[in-house]
Amino acid sequence: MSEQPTVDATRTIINHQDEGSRPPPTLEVGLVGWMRQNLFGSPADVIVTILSSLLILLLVFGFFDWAIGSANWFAIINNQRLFMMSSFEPVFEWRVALTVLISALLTGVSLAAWARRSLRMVVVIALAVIVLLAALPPIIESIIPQPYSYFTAGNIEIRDRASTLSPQRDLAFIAKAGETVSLRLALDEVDDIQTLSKLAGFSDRATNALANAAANRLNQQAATGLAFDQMRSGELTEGLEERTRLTIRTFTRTNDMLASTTQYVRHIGGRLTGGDAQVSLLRLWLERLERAARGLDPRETSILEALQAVEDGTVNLSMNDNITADLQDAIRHLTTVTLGSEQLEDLGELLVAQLSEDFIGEPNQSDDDEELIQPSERETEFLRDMFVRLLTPQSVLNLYDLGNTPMAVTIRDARSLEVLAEGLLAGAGDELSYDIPADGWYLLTKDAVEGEEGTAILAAHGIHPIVERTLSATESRFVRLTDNELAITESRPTIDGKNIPFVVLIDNQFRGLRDLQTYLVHFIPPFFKQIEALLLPFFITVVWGYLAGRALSHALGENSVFNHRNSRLVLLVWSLTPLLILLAYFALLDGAGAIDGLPAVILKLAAAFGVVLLVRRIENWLNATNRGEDAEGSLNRALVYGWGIFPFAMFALGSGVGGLSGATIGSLAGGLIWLLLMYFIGLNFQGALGYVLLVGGFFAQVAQAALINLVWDGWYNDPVSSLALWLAIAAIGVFAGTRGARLRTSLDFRLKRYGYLISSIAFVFVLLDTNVLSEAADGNAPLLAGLGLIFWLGWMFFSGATRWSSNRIITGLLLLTYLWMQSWTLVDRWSTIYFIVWLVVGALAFKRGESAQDEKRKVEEAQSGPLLYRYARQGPLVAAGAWIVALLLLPSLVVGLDAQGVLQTSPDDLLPLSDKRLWGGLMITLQLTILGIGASFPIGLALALGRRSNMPAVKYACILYIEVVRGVPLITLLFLAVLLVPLVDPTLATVENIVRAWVAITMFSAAYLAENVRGGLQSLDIGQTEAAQAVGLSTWQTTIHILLPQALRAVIPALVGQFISLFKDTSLVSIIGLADITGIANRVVAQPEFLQKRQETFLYAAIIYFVFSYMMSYISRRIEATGSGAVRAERL
Amino acid sequence: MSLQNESRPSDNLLPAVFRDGRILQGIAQIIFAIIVVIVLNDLQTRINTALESTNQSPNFEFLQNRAGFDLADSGSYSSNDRYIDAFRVGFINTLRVVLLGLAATTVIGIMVGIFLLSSNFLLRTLSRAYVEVLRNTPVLLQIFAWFYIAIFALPPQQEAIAFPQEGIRNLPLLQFAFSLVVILAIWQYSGGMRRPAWRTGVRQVGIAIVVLVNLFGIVLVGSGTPIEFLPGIYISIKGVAIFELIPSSLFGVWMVFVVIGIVVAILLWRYFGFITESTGQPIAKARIALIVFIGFVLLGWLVMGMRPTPSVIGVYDEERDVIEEMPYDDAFESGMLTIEQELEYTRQPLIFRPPMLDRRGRNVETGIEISPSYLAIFLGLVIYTSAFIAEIVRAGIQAVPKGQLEASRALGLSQGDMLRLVVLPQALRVIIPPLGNQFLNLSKNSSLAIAVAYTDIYQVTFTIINQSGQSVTGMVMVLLAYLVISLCISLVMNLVNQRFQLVTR
Repeated sequence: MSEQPTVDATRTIINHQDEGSRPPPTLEVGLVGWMRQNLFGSPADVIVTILSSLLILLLVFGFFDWAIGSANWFAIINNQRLFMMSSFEPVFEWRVALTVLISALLTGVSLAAWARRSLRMVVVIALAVIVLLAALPPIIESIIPQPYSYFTAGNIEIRDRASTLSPQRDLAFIAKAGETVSLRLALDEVDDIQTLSKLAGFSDRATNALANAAANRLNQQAATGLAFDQMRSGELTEGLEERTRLTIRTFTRTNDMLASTTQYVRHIGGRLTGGDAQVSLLRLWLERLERAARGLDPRETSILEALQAVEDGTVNLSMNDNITADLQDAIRHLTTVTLGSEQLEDLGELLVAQLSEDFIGEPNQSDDDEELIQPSERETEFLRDMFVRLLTPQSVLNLYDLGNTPMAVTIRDARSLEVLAEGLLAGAGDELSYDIPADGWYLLTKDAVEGEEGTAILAAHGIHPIVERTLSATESRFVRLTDNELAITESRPTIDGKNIPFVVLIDNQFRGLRDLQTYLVHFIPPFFKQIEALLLPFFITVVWGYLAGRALSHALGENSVFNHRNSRLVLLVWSLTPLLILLAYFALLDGAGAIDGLPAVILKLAAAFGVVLLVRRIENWLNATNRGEDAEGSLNRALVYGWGIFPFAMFALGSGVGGLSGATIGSLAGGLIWLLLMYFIGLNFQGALGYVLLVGGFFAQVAQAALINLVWDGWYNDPVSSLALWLAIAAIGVFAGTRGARLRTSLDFRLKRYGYLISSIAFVFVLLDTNVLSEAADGNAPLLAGLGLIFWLGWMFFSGATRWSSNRIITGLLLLTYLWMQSWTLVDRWSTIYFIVWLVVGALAFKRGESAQDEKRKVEEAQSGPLLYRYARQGPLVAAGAWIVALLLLPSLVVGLDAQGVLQTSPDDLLPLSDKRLWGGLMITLQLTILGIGASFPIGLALALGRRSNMPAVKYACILYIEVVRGVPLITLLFLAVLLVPLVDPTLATVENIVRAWVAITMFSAAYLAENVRGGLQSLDIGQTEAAQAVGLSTWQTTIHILLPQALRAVIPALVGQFISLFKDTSLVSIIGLADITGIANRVVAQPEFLQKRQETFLYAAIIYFVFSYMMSYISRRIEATGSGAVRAERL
Repeated sequence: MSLQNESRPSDNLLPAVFRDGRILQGIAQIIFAIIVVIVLNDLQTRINTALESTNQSPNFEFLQNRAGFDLADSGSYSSNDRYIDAFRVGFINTLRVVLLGLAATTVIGIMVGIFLLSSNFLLRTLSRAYVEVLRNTPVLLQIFAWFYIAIFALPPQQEAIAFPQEGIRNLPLLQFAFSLVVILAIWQYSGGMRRPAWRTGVRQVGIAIVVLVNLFGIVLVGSGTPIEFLPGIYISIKGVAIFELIPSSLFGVWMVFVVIGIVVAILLWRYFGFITESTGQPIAKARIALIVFIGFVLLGWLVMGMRPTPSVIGVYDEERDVIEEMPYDDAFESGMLTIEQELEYTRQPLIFRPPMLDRRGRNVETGIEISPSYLAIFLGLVIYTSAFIAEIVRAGIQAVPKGQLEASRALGLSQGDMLRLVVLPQALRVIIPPLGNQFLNLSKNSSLAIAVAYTDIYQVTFTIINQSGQSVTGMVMVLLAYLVISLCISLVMNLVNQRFQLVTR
């Protein structure tokens, strides 16, 4: 497409011999060359270029015109929270914030791992953005003065076209400490009607009415003048009958100007229809005449008919010239009266007098008079002036006597009504300014001085429009529209029980044509500050994560995962699977609370087993990789998994999906750690240190539960006893751990395997029911747990310890944290000691395990190289350090400290279920996406495999499912989930819509993913299967080890494409009433302040969607380009 | 590690029958089938119970009941019709969106796809931006934007944008006709691979003549033929009103000409193809066939114009309540002929009827009315899907190996021939399967019409469900309807695909 012209080096040299040096071919290289190549290649190209540039210019200018001149960006700025999380309870905002921060941290780490080479650019851009965000608002605010807000004061009613407005006497506003509120008469700005009409800034309704009136009058004036000119030149009368034209041309010579005007107006009204400014003006004039005619002589209908016809826009042109003399008189008389004030009346009289004296000899009504006497230039000017003045009503300035009356203004405290500042504004120099002492409500009172009558426009600094925002069911606050900074939650002020009107946006529509300056000062600072508040912590955390990642990378050495560029996506996908099964399990079982009893236990077990099996598979795969040439420490893999999972886990937990209630998990942190633990434990079923910590942990749990249940309730608050208890537990843990490490020599293989299997089951039981244990002695739970523990111990003692894996470190740390968290819900500061004790235990066991493994290590080092073990030594230490730091920080965020710094100990206090109906915005969109991807991927995989199964029953069932789901629209499934699910089981009616939508999206997406995966499977050579069978692998082994990795790798782009479309499809949930981004956009345009501001809101929503989708597709393209899709590229 | 190394399952635990893979598989399948049946049966029982508790039974009898609700965009349907009629209205409306949408989106998509490969930087970038913006934002949002932003910005019906503007304009028709003939002649006679010099000369002279005739014609002759323009299309916030073409009594005869034209064109095509194959002489057979076909169509039209007409026509005069005899031409100009009379006596096979508003300027009386909801859903779907199709087309064309292009250039094929004979057949092979997917997506996305209250099948059924309470049956009907549409599209696309696939051993 864009081939650069290349210069053939050899040819240049040959030419050089003959002709000496030549100038470079300027027309073929450089900018000119590029333009010739890409823009002006052929005549058609030139035309295309011109047309495209025109189109681009049109689009760009149109956009900026709109964006700067007329768009109301407050609709976005003031609804940012709504867009991000809707009415999510403010008390839980920290969850979202925490999630974002942790994601930022891991983004940084991932950048360090994956994008080191191109990072310089990223850093530069990020820095530039930060600088811009931070520096621009103050610069703008200091350079461009804040525009005034205008308020009308006084006691004269201002007539609008439809209603009468009186200036508000009292006005409430909010202000920030340290700001200055200043008020003065706006005499300088609005000393004539022109400036009044263009008044730019926020102004209240009365001022708006004044400005509108001024603008109307100006328009009328201009149009009248234009009409006069056109009338004289005959421009407007073309096409009319000759007779009519003559009448109009003789206008200047008739002695009845007004009658002719009426005639003229009727013609114009007849010829022109629609929204033409002139016509509307003339119509106005006609209305006035109509009123006149009605009042005087109701019998005279011809003019009324004409007027009516003009209104309908279909006047008959023949109705032109038979106005009776009576009517002419009537109109003349009436018009002068209707025009209102004496001055105008005089003017009218004067004009008529002038006309008769100066120009009129014999009135010339003749239809065919060709010899018109043309008035002179001076006469025309005069006439025009008179005409315009006659037809234009009195100036607004004079009408309301603007600014000539002294105004008394007072600033008061809105609560106590105590006067803080007062002043008298009588002239241009007068000003009242007041420094606000504290944030809060204030009251501005403005009125004419006693006994005076008049109106004035006040120009104010520091008084901004206010919007009232509902944050959740219980909370709302008042925010300043223009800077969005000050938010006040106290209720609005009242006088005598009545609300004082405050400066709301609807009353204070911005008026006037907005220029770039106003745009900048109004929209840029608040928006940038807002973005800054969101992005700056994010950036900083990213940098922090990046530095940590680099440190880790440095510690790990050159061949670590940070330098490895292959198959990350597969890793990621694999590592997501178990997590998502878990999430599904939570969401379905606990979140819904629909299934209970035995089915729940079975499902829980199934989900947990799914995790364990998948994890086993990954572990095997990792071990295989480790044995091979790809000498990467499994720690590094594990870290990658961790990083892949962590943000999602945090997100899910942070926003509480799956209804992780306190009763289920213990605490948010506990839940998080539990989740990660589930994963890492899978990696560590055979680890020595893993045993230590696990077993120790379970002893601790049992002991804890026993003590809590058996012993007197309060004693563990006693520090000494509690320390003793923990020490005892620690001792047991150390004992168990060392036993485990010593007895690692293997027994019978089969025994080991069965032991493994059984104890896995038991382990799951234990894990699932730990909390039951710790809660209360509840039925058979302790029994089950005890049984599990026995199996567990059996497995631990009789199965062989295997290789030293650094995963164990992480597992250990996670377990540690889990226990720590658990303990923290019981005792507060002593848990720190507990934690330290466990650290010591961990370190001891670490040491112990290390020395015990010395022999084995030597052997394996010989097999797979020393590198692995270097990581194994360094990596854990670094990781441990990072974890410890993180863990020290986390509790203060996660575990609820109340105002006194006392920990909230009841799990239910820590994590009450939030009302899912209040969730919304980007949060829901992302949640549905992440959970949808996670849940639909394994299902899709299973469907794809099922479809290729050689068992007809399975195969056709899968085909049926896939084809039916693919054949119907997603929205049908969504409605099915909403409407029909309660029919199937009434108990499911309690499930929130978001969960149902998620299930529908998952079902839908799974069918498509299945087809994608099937495509990948089909692209594989049959030889792969045959070879695998020849090696003796079972069907499952072939599928999991041979086929799936290749197939998935081949269809990465298709998978990502499906994920993107899932992301976009989440917008459909707005149709079933969920408030995702699209739903929120529709909500914003229903707010009274931003009614119908669809351009702005939809644009913003589209940008959000675009950013995420484009990011996904960009990553997909990068993966394709860097070779993970290499299989596919070769095949094509 | 442990899995691979450890011992195999014990060999003698089970009798041989249960170690036979086929039997195990059979058992597994039976178990699976039983589970599926149990689950489905359970579902059905539950639904039946739930329905019985509200006194409903899931059957289709209710479809014969009176619907009792009105529908927009519904043609002759009225609230007295049956549910099944309402359902049919919905189905037809969905088909209107889907079928027209498919055609439009294919055209736009292919165009943008070719633009994406343009050598012009600006065009390329513009179309890239078009594609990226459209395919990375949700279609629902786009439909909303079309409906609430684009269509809401149109003028009210009384001030509708008319196209072409009403009035009498002078068109240099003769010059156009002449130019057309000259251009056709040049096209026909100066092409070919080895063009002799005189032909080039003819070509240049021809172009010069066309330019001169047009310049002088317009500058000197000026006026041209006055032609009265009636607005054929009105665009306003109430949607679009388009003229209709009504087949008159002559339409059948004219169609005979058209059919003959098609047959002759095909025969010519075959014949010249045969000649080219047997002699190697290049003949522009498509061009000739096209010209012959157009010739027949025009000829038919002209012949129809010569039909014998009655010299006088009886016209009903409303004011005087009598039937008055009028000369043929006057009768047509008087505008008092009924539409049936016009159709009967006209000399044209098709009658042009511009859209007219009723007296109050509200509803469209004649002409085809397109509602704003239809416009929004149509434009939204078409534009959105076209971005994906553009990408598919681009990828398809780029998938043609470069060597193919070089080879065809070496053979001396012209740009057009290269595209037609080498690139497209190979590109289509790659394009068609994903194109079919996009077609399916479009047809399914048409259900989003509910967002802009267009009465498609989905919305109608929803109304039916609300009215009759037959939620299960209603949902089944919707699912079936969409399945039918999807399957039809798949079927067609599969047939097309077969046609274009490489035939291998």
